[in-house]
Amino acid sequence: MLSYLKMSLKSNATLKVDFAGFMFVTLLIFGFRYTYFGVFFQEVDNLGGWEEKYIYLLFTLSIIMTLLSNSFTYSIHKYFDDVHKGKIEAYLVKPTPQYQVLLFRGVNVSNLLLFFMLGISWIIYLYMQGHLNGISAWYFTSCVGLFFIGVLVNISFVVSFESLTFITARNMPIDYIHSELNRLTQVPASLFDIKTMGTLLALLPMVFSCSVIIQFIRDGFGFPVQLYLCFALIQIVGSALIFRKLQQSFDSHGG
Amino acid sequence: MSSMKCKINLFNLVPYCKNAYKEVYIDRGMLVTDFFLATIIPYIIQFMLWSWFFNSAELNEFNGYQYKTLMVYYVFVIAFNRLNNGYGIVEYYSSIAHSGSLSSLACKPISLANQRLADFIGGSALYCLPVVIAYFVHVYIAQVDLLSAVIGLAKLFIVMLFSQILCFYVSYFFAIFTLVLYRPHFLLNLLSAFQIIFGGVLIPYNFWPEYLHMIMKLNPFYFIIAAPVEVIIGTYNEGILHYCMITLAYIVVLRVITSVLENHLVKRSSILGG
Repeated sequence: MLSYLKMSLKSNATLKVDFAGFMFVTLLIFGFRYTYFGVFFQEVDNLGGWEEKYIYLLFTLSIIMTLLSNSFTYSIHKYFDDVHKGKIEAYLVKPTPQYQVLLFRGVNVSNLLLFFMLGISWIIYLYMQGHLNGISAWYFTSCVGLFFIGVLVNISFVVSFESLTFITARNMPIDYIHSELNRLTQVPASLFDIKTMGTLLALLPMVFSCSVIIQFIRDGFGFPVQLYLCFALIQIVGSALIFRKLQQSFDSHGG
Repeated sequence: MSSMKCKINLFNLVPYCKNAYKEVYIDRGMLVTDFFLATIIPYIIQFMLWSWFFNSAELNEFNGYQYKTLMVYYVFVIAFNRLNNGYGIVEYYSSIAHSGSLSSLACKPISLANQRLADFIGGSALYCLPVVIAYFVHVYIAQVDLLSAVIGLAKLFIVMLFSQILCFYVSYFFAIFTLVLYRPHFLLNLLSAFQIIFGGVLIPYNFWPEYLHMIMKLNPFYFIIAAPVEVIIGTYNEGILHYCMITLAYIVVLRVITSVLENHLVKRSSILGG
């Protein structure tokens, strides 16, 4: 696993301008998106009942979660691109577990580094501002846990649909579909009506992967959080089973 | 002689358009996915946020936009954002430059820029559909009379053509830099970020803080996405002629810059593929 990470890091490090540029663009988007939400708060003091600080928190979480999820979805897409081209046999016969090849062989180190940089600076900022004072260890761990479950939900969504390449041998545009659906994570859950929220929770729990953390901070471990965890677990386990089952049907010809 | 040459060149470009059109048409699965995801999801987000905003603040108008006008603006602006999408131009240029096939394409009697322009317009033809459908729905709901609707349709095609050509040259300008940067990721991210921010996809230019108005209204991305939409929905105060003149000026300037830059960078780079 570490060897895969090392190789990806070396590959990314050779193109410094690309990496520096990627950081610049991410920070640019970050700044303008903050200004965009600021437009709403000129006239109202909440969005869907969530105060300004929670909306900014939701947005920051969404950016950071996207960076971490995309680090791995990039690798997943690369794996299935090889499946599509019929080049995956070399990795199937190696002693390395398949999940390591799937998640780490093509990991996007630019995203990963930016995730650590932004994540750490954000936590330092929260600490300096005193927002973390008086927060219990259990509470903080739960938030971090929900964050990583959100990342897993995003990854499992991509894995379950990309796995169809094993039987169709076609290159699926799942990374594109995922990035479009991922935009919905920036919408506060409170803006959805209850029926839509229930349906989306069951079908696409990733839509609420960030909102659920805010829900937890505001209202504690309530029914929506429990329901989300339930559907998230189903999706994560389901995607692992789908991957395993469809891999067994793979005829290795590519498409 | 030069007009004759121009006619021949234009005629020779048609197969590029046709092939690009067919390529998009054949991959209908992706086309449908694109139509739904790239247009409906961004619209749902804007709709949810602005509906809450107007209801909650009890406003009739915000920065010159009524709720309905703003929703119409988003329908068009999101459809235009998909229509004028130069992502493929940068990606393709990067792939041919680094697979070593740039030289074989560049030595053809039609310049590489013109080949790609024809390909871009042909490939975008089907993406005009959401814009045209949105226009008919808009005309029907607003109960516009027939003459105004026909004039509006003519305006729509003019602004679509101008914005397409401008989008091509802006994207081609970005694409050329793959000769220096080797990978297209940064340029692709930058291009799509500029389209969304400066093109007015997030919000109309006058919603940004006042110190940003000038940048938001004079940059080329505004003339690719937001300005054509404002011409159609009638919030572009200077009129269609003004829009066409500025867009044309941008096209001419970018055509010259890309031509000089491409010549310079192609000479500098050692394209052996890789």
